[in-house]
Amino acid sequence: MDKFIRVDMTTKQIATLDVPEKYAGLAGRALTSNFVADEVKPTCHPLGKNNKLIFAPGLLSGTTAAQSGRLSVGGKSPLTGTIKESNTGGTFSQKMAKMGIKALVIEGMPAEDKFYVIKIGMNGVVIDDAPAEIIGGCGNYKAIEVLNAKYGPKVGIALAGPAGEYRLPTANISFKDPEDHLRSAGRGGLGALMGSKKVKAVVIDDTGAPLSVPLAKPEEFKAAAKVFSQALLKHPVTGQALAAYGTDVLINIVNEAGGLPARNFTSGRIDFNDKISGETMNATITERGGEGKVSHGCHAGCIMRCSQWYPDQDGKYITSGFEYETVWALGADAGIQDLDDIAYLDRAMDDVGVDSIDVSVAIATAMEGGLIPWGDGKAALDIVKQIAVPTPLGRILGGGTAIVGKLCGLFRVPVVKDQAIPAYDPRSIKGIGLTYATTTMGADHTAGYAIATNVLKIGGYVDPLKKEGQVELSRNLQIATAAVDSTGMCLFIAFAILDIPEGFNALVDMINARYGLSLTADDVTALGKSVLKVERAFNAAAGFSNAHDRLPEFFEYEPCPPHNAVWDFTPEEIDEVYNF
Amino acid sequence: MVIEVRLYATLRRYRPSIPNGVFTADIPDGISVAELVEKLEIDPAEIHMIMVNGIGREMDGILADGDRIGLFPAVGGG
Repeated sequence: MDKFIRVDMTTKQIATLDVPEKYAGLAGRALTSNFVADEVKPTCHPLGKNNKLIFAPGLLSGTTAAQSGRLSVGGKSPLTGTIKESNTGGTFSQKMAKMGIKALVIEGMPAEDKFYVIKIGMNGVVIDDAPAEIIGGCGNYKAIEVLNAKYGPKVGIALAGPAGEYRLPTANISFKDPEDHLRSAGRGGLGALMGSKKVKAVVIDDTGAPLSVPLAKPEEFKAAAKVFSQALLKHPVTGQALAAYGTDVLINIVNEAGGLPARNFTSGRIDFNDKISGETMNATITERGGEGKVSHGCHAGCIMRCSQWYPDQDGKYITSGFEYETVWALGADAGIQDLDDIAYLDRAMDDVGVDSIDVSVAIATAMEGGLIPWGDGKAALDIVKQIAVPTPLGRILGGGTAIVGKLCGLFRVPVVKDQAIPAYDPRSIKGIGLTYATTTMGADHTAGYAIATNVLKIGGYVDPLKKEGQVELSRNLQIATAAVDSTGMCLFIAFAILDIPEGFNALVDMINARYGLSLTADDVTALGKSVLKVERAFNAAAGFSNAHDRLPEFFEYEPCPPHNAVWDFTPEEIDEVYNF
Repeated sequence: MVIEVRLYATLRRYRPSIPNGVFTADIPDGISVAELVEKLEIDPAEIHMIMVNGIGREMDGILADGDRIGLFPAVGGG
């Protein structure tokens, strides 16, 4: 019987309960968002005692299904003030699922100024004092070492880094990956929420747990899982391209499409694209050898392997999960032309525990604001490292793009609901602009990844420079994404299942075989819609209206070269996205 | 007429002497993307995305002097 674990940090009481009936069929984002909507006061202060943090594995986590190891983390966002679901790879989700833990809830807030570690094992939950050496600026890589030494090398770990301890709006929650490196529930400042509860780390030890979760129909599951894997391996993107070039392959594509935001969103194209492209990343890793790896999976069971280990000139590991959005923001948007400088910045952001999108865009904003010189990777690294102290400038940078832009007196501040707009210009690629504007999460490309259909010609083609078809595209992708985020699946499965119908059917079949259900494709769509409606109702009760579903005004009157496109959707057209 | 070709990702192996995949070509006036691809001796089955001056095009698109043509295999990220 699955469990619901609640940890009250005010009283230090731990309750291990049966799963409430209303959550029985939910998992992942569907569970975190319904729980937050049910139990968190929408108008609460995100860092106050009434906010709650919830971890939930997806519907298929803990099974042998490929790509099923994602964990959803939810709460009211300290960055945006909206509901938030941020999901991550690492080892945590599979362990929770195998231990039969449907959700872990952290609520309340200690009166004392002291950090704790929550330790979850098969015999129960204990709250330990956090080791002194990992408090007050200790980097996440070192903290993983200390916690591994104390709790054993095989435990799963969720960490609030220094930024989380300081409750900065861009603080992420960092998760240990299979090789003791870092993955992040990056967006929306959930690390600050964890820090506000005085939880430095959650450690999970699945020793004694079954090797797999129970399956209602094991043979059917096995057959469906095979079809699903074959679909992923057959599709050229999920089967080959992601492993070869990682997500950074997009630098050249989006640049060629004229939608690569450059120099704080004043252009859509750069001429030094090849210095920071996925092709160059691949060639550099291959040439340097050593600890470098061109492809790497972020969780056990990942067969797409879009991550990598990027090494220095001597072949020593610098960083992994070196993603397109981070490279874009520091490279194209901030003008840092050296991939090694960008890699050290990526590592430093992981180590201090901040969202590498929001802080990287904030670096470009800080450059426009004159805080550091344009394109200066060393100066950028210096101010990122100041977050760990934190110096006043470190705190400002860790406040994220919206705060840096405001403090620098700028109007060109690329955020929606105070969350930084990522790596695709909404003037030249209009479908993604509708997603940024309307998603319940604040600007987030993953919430409805219109790039697939606007640029990559996956799931059909909708002209990125025209308005026709974009409302339906963004809406349908947001609905599908809310469903996929509830399965524990990596969102990149969408590349395959958008093009290969039997892959999508196999996903539904796996859920049915796991739980003994008879869901159809329509039920999956209905699940996605219901998640979005619950999230949107929370945001409305928190004070958000259609007027917040707008892009920054400068997109309407500053044309974006080379296409000189502007953002030209009317408010009424934008509001149609959520008319379902 | 002279156009600029940009090969990306795995298509760069068709021009191993040009690491960044960017080169100019002198081609007959008014040929299509498909005819260009044939002249370059690239397997059209490997091409998934075509951009001419940053605009998505198909194989039957007719080229003009000075065009910038980006050719991509199927790739994705995000």
